[in-house]
Amino acid sequence: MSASIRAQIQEYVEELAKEDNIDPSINLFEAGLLTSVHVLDLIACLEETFEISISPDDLSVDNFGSIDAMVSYTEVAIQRQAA
Amino acid sequence: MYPVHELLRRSSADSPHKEAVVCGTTRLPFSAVSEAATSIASFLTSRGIGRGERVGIFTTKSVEEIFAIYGVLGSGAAFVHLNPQYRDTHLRHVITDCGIKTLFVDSARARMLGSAFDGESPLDLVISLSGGAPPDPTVATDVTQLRDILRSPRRLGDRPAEVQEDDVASIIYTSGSTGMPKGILVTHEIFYDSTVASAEVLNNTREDRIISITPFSFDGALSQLFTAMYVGGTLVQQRSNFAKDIVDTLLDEKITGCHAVPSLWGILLQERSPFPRHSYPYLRYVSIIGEVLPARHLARLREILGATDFYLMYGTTEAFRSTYLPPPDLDRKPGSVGIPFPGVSVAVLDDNGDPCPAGEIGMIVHRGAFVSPGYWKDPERTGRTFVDGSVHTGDRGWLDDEGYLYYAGRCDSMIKVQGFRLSPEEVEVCIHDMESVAEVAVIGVPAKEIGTIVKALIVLHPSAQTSDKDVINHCRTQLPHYMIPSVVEFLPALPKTSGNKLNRAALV
Repeated sequence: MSASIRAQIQEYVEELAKEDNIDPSINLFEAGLLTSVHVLDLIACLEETFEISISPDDLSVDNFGSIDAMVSYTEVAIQRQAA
Repeated sequence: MYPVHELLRRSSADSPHKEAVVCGTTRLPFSAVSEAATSIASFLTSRGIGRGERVGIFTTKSVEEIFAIYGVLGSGAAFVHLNPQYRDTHLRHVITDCGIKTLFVDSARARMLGSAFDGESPLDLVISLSGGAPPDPTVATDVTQLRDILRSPRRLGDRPAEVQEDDVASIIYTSGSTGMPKGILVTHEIFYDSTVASAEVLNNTREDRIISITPFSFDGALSQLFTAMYVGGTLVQQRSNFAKDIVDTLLDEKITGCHAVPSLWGILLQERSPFPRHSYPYLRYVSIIGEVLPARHLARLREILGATDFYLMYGTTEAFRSTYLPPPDLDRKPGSVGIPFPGVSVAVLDDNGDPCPAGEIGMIVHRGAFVSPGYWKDPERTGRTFVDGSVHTGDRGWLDDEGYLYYAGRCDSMIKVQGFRLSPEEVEVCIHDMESVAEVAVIGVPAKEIGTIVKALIVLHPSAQTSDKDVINHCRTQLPHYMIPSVVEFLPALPKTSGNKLNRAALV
């Protein structure tokens, strides 16, 4: 499950950033790979793909700044949704 | 005139324990900022770096970059803050263009130096701001850690270097209408005059807590820093541009002043932002500069920020600030960027250099205070833009019958994306480096909600195989993010003028 979440997020971010083999731990925004205008697309895609709902109050760099952060956030959101 | 580093020293002498700078969980009083700056100035002086030299600063937002800015000023050298979004091409251009030999750099960006110079680095001394791994040893012969400079004991009698009002304090790089970014000279006098004038217009006091979102490679961000330190207020460095993070800072830090480009307000107003759901009783003023704020955004912001004063401003880096709209005039003069700053006069001239009658569009010309001595090592361009002590801005505008200014776009093909200005040629030169590309033209096209995006129109050599992704990937390694085309279109030919030059007017 988790491997597939990671693979899908990695693939989507690479598509959005138009770059391959992105280090999942780097801050995508400080590295200039994504900009704040990408955030809405990214959130909509995560919601649709994983059937989760993301609150505006969660829209922080801690949750979405890197691929690793997005994977953790999504995993927790899926569990919360199932509960 | 006092140099701005002297203004910091005075605030520190008055209120050494008052909070000066906040970044994340780091909170520093004036005494700490002032002492760090003095240590850096002494270090630079001990290395023979001072008046007539330029020192680079290349980092994401931090407290250390503030130490470095004031430290370089205290040494008598000029600082050059490199846009943290720069990639190889621009990094190389700016460092070689203004002959930077000494560079303050954070660890994430130190790695970039190796690929930018490929073993041919012109740097002598690199000062690592954030510790971590030292940069590639080929980058500079001498690498020093900032923390070691700050730890070393100060010597008695260390005094800041003497500076004159017309000494160059900084070179600010900004995209011109053609080619690579141009260095604009800023003197100590301009920093002092604009700091005092900004504080006067915005009524800044020591109670102010100002959020800094824009990098210090932009004059507006420097103005906020210098003004905050001058009045004894607090500057809060904002690293994340996520709406939720900015909202948290506005609330938790009880921010009283915020200066931002219109695209940032766009981020705060987008449908997913928590910004509209809160109230901001501490936010005394916002100032907006850099491009035109859509009227519906301004209306929405005023609904949310009912008690906040709005200052719409106009300026160019060549003349720092030209005009501001006093908040009481906001409803009376919709769409206006207001009246001249103290010490400034503004005219609108026609093609013959004569003043336009009220209501007629011409070129905006700035006279009086804040006028730069010119572009770095470019007398020809300096002569065209700086005429008899005035700045011919290259911006179009008109004055109403009460002398209020209205902005009406650029005279040339420059594009504004997310508040950054760029010339199409900068991107075209980069794409032309691809062997498969025969011709290229770059334009700005309007996009929903986010203003303008960059579009590349390309003619490939016969039988060349290049995809839009190839073009974008190539740009990504060379250009800052806001210059990277969002859309690439391949065409059989580009429109030409009768002189066989690219016909830009036919592209849009």
